[in-house]
Amino acid sequence: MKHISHYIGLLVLTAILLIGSVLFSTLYLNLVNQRTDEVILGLLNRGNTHRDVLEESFNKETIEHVSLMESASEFIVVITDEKGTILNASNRLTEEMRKELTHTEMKNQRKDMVLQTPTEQGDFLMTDSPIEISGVHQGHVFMFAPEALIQQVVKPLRQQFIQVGVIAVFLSLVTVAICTRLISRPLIKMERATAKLRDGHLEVDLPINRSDELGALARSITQLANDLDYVNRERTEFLAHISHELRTPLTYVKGYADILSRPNLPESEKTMYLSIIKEESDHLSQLIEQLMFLARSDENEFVVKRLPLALDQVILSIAEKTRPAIEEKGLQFVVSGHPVLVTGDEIRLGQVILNLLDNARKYTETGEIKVRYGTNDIGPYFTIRDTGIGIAEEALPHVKKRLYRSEPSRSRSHGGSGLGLTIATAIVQAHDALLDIKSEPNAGTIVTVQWKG
Amino acid sequence: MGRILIVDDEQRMLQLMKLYLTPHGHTCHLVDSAEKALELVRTVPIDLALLDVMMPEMDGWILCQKIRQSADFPIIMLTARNQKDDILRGHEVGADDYVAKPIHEGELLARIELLIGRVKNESETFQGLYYDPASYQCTFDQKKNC
Repeated sequence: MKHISHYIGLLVLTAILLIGSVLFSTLYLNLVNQRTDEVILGLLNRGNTHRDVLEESFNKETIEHVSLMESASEFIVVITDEKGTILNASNRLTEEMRKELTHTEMKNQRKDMVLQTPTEQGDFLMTDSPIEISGVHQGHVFMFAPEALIQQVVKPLRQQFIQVGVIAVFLSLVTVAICTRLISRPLIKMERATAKLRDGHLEVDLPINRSDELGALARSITQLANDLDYVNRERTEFLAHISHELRTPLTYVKGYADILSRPNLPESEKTMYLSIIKEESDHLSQLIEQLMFLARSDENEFVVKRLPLALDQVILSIAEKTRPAIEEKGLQFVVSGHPVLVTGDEIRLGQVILNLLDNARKYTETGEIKVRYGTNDIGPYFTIRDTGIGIAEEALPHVKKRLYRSEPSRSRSHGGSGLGLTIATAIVQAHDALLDIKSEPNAGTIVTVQWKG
Repeated sequence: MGRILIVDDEQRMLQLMKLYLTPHGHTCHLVDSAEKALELVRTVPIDLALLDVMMPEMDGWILCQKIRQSADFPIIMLTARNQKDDILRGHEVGADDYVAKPIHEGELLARIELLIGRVKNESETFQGLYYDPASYQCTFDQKKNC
């Protein structure tokens, strides 16, 4: 068997047929019994009517009259006296009938009764209606009917049942087939989709609009494919960016080294080119270091220490280090807050603060940079607010992505690598805190790092 | 030799290109944005352009397309990625060649001279009438005519 639907179908069909046949045969037997009872009752009533007639006048003419009446019917009437001697019979009796007659006679029955006896010539039915005149047992009226009579009644019933049965089996087959198809079709589709996924075709379209588990599965598969596709594209894009980020400084290092090897360069130019080479190689090594850090954070290999830490002290010491560079640009630098304790890694958090302050300095030309720290309703926090160029609204959701720059190649002129915020975010998340960025173009940016209680 | 337009948003790259090319007799027009490049193309005759792909506002691909609407001088793309997609895209927008970073000085010069040389050979002179296919300009006895 190739499809799971076949198993399901077979199982359901077997169950339906089992239950169906039990119900069907019970109903059939009931109906057959009912019909048989009707026939037997009819026979007994007939005998009783004869008996009633004979009880009124038990003489030869009446006996012959009764016998004559039955001679044309399919029944046989036998009238005996109280000792069992046959007075008259409407038809010739078979040996079995005679035997049965004497056998019943011996019991000296006084009640109406029914017998059903199998014989070699075929089953027959027998009824016994004893004749009693003023309390004295006078004889019997026996009625015989061939079993074939019952067969005649039951036969059309049986035919009807066979017809209905065949239709029922056919209908259940069709229903089961449709149901299993309904189950298996989406399964087959999903199997094909996942096979495509495995082969690297990430554009999966599963048009299965169902509200059951199969629909949910289809949606999950589609979601998975989209996620994979996204990750894949993200990776390609990331590699392309990395390539650009690495090749550009490399071009400078190589290029200015080429120029330096030319003869007769003035000393001033040599110094300039050398400093460019130094700057660019520093930039390269910083970039590689950050990439390694990110790779480790992707592998969850970087751990942050969880030690009690005076956040205010960390902020103040980093702020003092960056103050000269900020004030050199003519910017106001204000740091204020209340002492605040967190659990965390001093070096990593220092890295985050340094990176955020660097960003603020790079992207702010006039105005001020304000750092605030302390504890608010939610927990410990610090914010860095600048009056810089800000981030465009459409770029804001992406700035935490690695190598994303709100304008291509902008950050290079500001000396950034495009990885700083990604790393900062990773570190902050490792501290179970959140890094939030709010910004308005040409008004400034507010970065908040917030711990929970 | 050639009048070369160099477009890159980074001053450092423009200077490097200039340092590469001037010793070989090329005249360099350094421009740090696509807008300025388009303006320059309208006013100054150019033999070849070097366009950086990664630029803010308008990237090198779009700039290449826009230049192609009005001019036919050879264009070399400076790209940081030498992937097939980029090469194909370069052909789509009408670039003639591309050089991948980090740039090899000898390779860059060879490609420039090859492209300028080919175009120069296509230009024709007939009884003092000179046709320059790079700028679609005809000059008669060194005076612009049509």
